[in-house]
Amino acid sequence: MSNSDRVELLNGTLDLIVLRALDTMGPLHAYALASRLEQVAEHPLMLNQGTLYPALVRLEQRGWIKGTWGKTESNREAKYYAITQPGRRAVEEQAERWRRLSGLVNKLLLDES
Amino acid sequence: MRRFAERLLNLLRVRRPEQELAREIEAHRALLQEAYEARGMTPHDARRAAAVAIGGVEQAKELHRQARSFLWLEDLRQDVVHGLRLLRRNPLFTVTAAASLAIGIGANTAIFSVANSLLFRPPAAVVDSDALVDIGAARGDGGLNPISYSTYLEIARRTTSLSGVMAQSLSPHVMSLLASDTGVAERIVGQYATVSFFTVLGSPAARGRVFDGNDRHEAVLDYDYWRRRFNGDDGVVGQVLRINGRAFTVVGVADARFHGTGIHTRDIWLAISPDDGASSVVVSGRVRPDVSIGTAAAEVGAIGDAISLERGESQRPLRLSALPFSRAGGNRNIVIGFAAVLMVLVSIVLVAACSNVAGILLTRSTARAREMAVRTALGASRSRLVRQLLTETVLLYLVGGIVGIAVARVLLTLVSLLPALPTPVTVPLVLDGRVMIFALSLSLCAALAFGVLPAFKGARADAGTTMKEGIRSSSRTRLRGAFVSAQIALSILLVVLAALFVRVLRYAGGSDVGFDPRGVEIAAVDLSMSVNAQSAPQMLWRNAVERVRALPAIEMASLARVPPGGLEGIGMGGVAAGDRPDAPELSPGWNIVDTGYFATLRIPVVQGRDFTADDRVGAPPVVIVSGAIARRLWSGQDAVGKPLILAIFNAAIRRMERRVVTVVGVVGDIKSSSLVDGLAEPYVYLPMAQAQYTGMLNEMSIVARRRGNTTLESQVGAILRDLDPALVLARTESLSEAMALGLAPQRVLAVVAAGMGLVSLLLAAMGIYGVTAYFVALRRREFGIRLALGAPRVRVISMVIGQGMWLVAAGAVIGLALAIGAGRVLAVFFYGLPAMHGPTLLGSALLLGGVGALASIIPAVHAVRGDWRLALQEE
Repeated sequence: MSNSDRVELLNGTLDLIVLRALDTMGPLHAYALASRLEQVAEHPLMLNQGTLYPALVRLEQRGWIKGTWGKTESNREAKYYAITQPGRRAVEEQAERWRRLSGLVNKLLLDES
Repeated sequence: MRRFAERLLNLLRVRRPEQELAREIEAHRALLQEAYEARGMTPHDARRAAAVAIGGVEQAKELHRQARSFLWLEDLRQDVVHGLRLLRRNPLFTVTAAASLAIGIGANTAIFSVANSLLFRPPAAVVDSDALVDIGAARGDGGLNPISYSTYLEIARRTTSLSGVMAQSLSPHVMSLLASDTGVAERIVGQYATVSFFTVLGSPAARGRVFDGNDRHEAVLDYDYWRRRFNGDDGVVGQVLRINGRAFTVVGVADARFHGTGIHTRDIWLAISPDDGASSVVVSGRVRPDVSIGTAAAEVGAIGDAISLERGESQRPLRLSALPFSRAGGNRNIVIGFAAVLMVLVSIVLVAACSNVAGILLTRSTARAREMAVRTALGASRSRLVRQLLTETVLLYLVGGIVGIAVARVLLTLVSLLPALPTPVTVPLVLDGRVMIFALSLSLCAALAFGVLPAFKGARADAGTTMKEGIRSSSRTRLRGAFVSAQIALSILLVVLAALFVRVLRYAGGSDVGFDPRGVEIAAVDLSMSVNAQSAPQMLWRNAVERVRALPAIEMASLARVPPGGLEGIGMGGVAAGDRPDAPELSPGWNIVDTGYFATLRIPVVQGRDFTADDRVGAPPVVIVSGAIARRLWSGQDAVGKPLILAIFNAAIRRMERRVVTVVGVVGDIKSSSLVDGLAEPYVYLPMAQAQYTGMLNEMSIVARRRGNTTLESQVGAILRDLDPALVLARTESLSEAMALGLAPQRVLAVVAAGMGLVSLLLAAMGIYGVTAYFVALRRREFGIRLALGAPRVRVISMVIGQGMWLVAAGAVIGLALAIGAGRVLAVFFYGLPAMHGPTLLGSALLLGGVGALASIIPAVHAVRGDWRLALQEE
């Protein structure tokens, strides 16, 4: 798989995607989160899994998610992240903003083709 | 805000989140590897694939870190760590720079903490000292003079803005405590205070109670005295003590932390008695919570006006005023002024130290030009480099500040070397939070003021100039020279000032004071200690002085109301020539003396005679005047036999009155209590035998010229006890000591200026050495070429020294100009001091020149040492 096939994530979109995933699926650890993102991506979203961490820290600092140490089914320790109440509100706001932005971008792209 | 706090916390505990992150990533990697293995990969391949999928762990950490903290704070942390490492790596530089800064900051801090203790720190165990005011008669310098007890009573009666007013006697007095069991008189330091004293201050009692009612025969013990004298025995409360012939009931012991409102300490507070009407008191009051201090001060002023009007003293009105309460009391402004002068002195040395450090930093930045160039090439912005250099400087200054606080502690112990006052004095010199803040903010301000320029110069490093050696005449070099010249200028200023103060001291305390203090002992006696003695003071004094004269160790002895040269003086009124109605009235210094006083002190009797035993009550009233009075009232005539009008206070009728007396002698001028101004003060001497009406014979000093070196304390003490068991010596000292006390402020100035002058000389030497060594390093190649072409070594050496001398000369010109300006200002305060003293100025310039030459010799010799050839091969 060449690098050009990768979908580069727009700035800020990763935060929204993570929030959304946690909102719908409940508490997840970073690996599960990464797997989930790969699952839903129609394109091969080759996420450098390490880049998840800055997003997780950012979200945790804003108080939108909260991390706690727990055990996986295979009895390994992992940090589980869960969305918080302010996080849920933020998903709504961010999603609305995203819809508006993507609508605009789509419209511009369609008009020009 | 929470995020801010979290980030800040993150910055401080870098290690913990980083470890946690590593743990989390490891868990992630393990899960990933498990998943890959489940898909059929070998464990080895799975591990690799997992690592790749996560990406560089370090990279993730770095991303994580950036998200976690403020970038600039992280930079700061790095800079601090880097700076500390640099400071550790160059211990010589760090120690010299921090030490010179520490001396400057420490001296400033020490003076600030004295001022802090006297002006800002309220005495312990006093409630809400912000609401307290000191009240007194407004003085020209903005301070307060004590007022009479009767005026205090008027204020207390009339005020509406003060919730309470209290008064205490001017200063504590040595008193005589007659122990009931042994009948022996003990020395005790007591102070009179109104019964409102403790309640106005809000100071509680440790045992018993403080003054509360109106009983005038109560006493409160100082806690330390209680522990010392009564072994902390509670039984003392309720006991009756006989002090100065009066009975006082001990009602309690003051709070352990409370030792009065001023700087004096005392053993006991005695309730002031109502018949102390004429005596001066120091007054303080507590302002009502709903009233501003300004309003209270205005009301106090109005009360003063009303009192003057009622007493018919409108031509000399009583101008009452109130100042914020402090340990310095009405002398606030004097303390502020003196502290300010000292602060300016020690600030000069701080500026010199800062210039020195700035110079060294500039030199160092030249040495680090390559480091800066490399960092610039790697993409560091100029502001980033400035920030880093500035951080290093601030660190250095903070180290200096912290060491400076320690230096201040040491300097404060030197305060105890000052001559002792008649009664004990303590100022709790505490390095409290305010002092710490002062020291650290002083360091910070100095770091910014003197660090910014070198930091900007230091960060200007482009690869081009660094490669070339041609930065000889760059602005950095000029700046370096300017810093050294500034140091020289400040050193000259300090050396000249030190010489000036030493001259003031010598001028004032020199041999020509008009009398010979060497070998003269003073024993102060206060007859108010004994009721018996008070009834016939003349008898007692005569007996006492006769018996002292009979001591084998005594050559001569007499009595005086005030010994000359000390802090004390008595004001009694004015004098005018009786035969010339047009003559101006003089306000002379006064003294009341016994026969033999002038011989004892070796004051020459210029005309006429000394007092004799015949000058007694009933005989014609006589007086002896100083030469200054004779010259001013009877210029060109013989003053002996002339009538002199005294406008003097008669204590018997409590009123000023005019008396005409005959001048029987003229004595040499002495420099009296105001030794500093050096002017021959007009002085009037009254014979003790005729001065009963002044009401001032209760306190006299035995003035004795001794043979040999024995101290007279025990012998004179025994004589007094023998005359009256209740008498104890208030104090004994040599006249020289008493005079030293009068000159204490000048001595402090001279010592501080001299010490600072020495430090600044040392700094100047360091600065010149540094800059010369730097020039030599820059011009190594040039000197090498010169030597190779056959220039004599001496020529090169003189070139190097010459370069240093140019800086010295430039600094000297500025320094001398500053010193002349400072001399002009000081001449206003110290009479008889010429603003310009050629030898001092010339001497200081030569001294600095010598120091400069010495300091540049080593680098100059270094320039022509054998290895100069290497310089030619370096490039």
